Amino acid sequence: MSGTGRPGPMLEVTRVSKRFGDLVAVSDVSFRLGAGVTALLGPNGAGKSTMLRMLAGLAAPSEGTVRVLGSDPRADVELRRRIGLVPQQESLFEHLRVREFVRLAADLTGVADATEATERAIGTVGLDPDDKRRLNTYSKGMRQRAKLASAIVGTPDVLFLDEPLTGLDPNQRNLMIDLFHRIGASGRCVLVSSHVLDEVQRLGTDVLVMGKGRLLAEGDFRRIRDLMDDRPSRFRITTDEPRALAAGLIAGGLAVGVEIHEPGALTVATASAGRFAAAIAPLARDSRASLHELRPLDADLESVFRYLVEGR
Amino acid sequence: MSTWTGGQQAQIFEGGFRPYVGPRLAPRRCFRSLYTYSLGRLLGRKRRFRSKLIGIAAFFVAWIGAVVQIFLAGLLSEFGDLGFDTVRNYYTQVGVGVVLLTVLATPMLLNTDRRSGLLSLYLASPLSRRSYLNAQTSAIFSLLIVMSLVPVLVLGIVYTSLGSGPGHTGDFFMFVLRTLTAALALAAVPTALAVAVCSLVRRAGMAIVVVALCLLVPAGITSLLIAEAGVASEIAVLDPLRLSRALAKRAHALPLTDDTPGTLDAVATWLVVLANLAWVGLLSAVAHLRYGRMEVER
Repeated sequence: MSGTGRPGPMLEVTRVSKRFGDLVAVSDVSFRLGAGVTALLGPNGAGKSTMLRMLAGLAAPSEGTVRVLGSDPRADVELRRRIGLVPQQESLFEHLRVREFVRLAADLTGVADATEATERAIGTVGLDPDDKRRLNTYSKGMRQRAKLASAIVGTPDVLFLDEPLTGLDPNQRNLMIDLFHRIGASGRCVLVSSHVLDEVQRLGTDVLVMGKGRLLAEGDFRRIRDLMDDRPSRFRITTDEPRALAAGLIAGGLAVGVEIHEPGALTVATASAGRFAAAIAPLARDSRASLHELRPLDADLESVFRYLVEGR
Repeated sequence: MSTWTGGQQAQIFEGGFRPYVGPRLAPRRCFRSLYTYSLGRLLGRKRRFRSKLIGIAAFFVAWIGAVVQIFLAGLLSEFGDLGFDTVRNYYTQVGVGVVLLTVLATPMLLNTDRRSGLLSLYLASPLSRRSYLNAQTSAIFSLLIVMSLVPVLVLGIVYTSLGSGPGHTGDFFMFVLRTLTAALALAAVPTALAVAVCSLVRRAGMAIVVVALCLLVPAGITSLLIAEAGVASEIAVLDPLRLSRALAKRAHALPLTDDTPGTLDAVATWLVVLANLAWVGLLSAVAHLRYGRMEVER
């Protein structure tokens, strides 16, 4: 997962572990990321927030190295103006108005024209810069957007978002995801943590999957699925000749299991999804069967997540 | 709300992500922003009235005596006869104000940042832990200096205008310099103590209690040890409030005649200066060490 817009990785994590006393929050994690949107997926307690805190320079790794844009984020103060962070907690500056909150972030990142940058960032997340209400009167979704505005006001090259979609309604969620993609497409690295599969699936295909402090997988989740070769891939086929097709699949060694549940529909389990996909059309032709539908049943992120995190 | 343009113009209100491409300021601007913002927080700026109460109460206690004296000056012609030492001794009320602000406001600033997660936002910006702590400490310190400096300075000006203050311009500037030194002395140790305690204690409420105990309890203990156990009077340098007050007294070159147990009049000036510096150095080291190693958990 190297970047497209810049030479070399924008984030480089090498054999990083983080311990809090006896608790190992992150264990021997390594990955490299470039520009674009990557989802950091994992159940609660997987070590996602700790990983983001180390990347943002807020916590030091117990072992290993973290490099953001080639530098140590904990040591390089200048670097941190190129990092944006949306933390998970919400009790931030509750007595401030959105303009004051984002303005403070603009001042902290050293933006010269802070007024203009503040209005721009607030407008980008769809809030009103002139809203007189204080942040503690905002809905959860509006607070999330205010936090995002404060993170992007300095136009960071690297953006870390810890569960940023929590509390947003579907429309806002789509707008935010679209915004993340636009930021990623502008040559920036966006790392979004979430434990909600549906959110992650819409964030894109590049994922880092964490569980119990370890990095379980990285890359395009469809390719990760292909690598799970100890687990048969399942397909649903609807056809006018289910029995003939099932017999052909078994005879050709393309299926390790076939199940016919309803007239015209069968579920096929195959050890090799690639071989199956290449062979199914000729086989249908030879069996004089018409294929009405061919749909993978477990090539989605949920399947990958279940397999990696829950072991089923 | 859109504006009717009569079909003559078109506007797009949502332009998506537009990066800021303007100039960037130096990281020290970041320090200044936090310093200014923290000053506002200490005074309850842009907060509910109850948040302003700490600042109002502290400044009221510290300044009310001076205000009354100035008011009396307008009424009583013999006011100036009270003697200029009244001005140079105007530190009891200032001391109460300093304690109030130090005890109540410092934990609200530092511990709240940690509890609410603001610290993570600050430290994700171009602020190092050291500069974060320095900005916060500077905000508290400068507020205490203003609290200590202003009433004495104003009283000095009033006395001087009534003919009871320094006779020459040079003497007056010396008085200003002494007042400034005294203000620094009064603010330094309490600030360092409060910041160090807040770095060690997690919750704001607990920090308030511990800072108050650290400021107030040593006076009783050291007095008791000197009076009852016959311990040398130098042990009073362990009382941070009396120590800072003793330095302020010396800054104004006031006579050192108080032999009450626990006061530092009998202690050599060099030891008072050294003890003040040692307290500030030690406590600052504790705070910096603690913040340097602190895990940002939220």
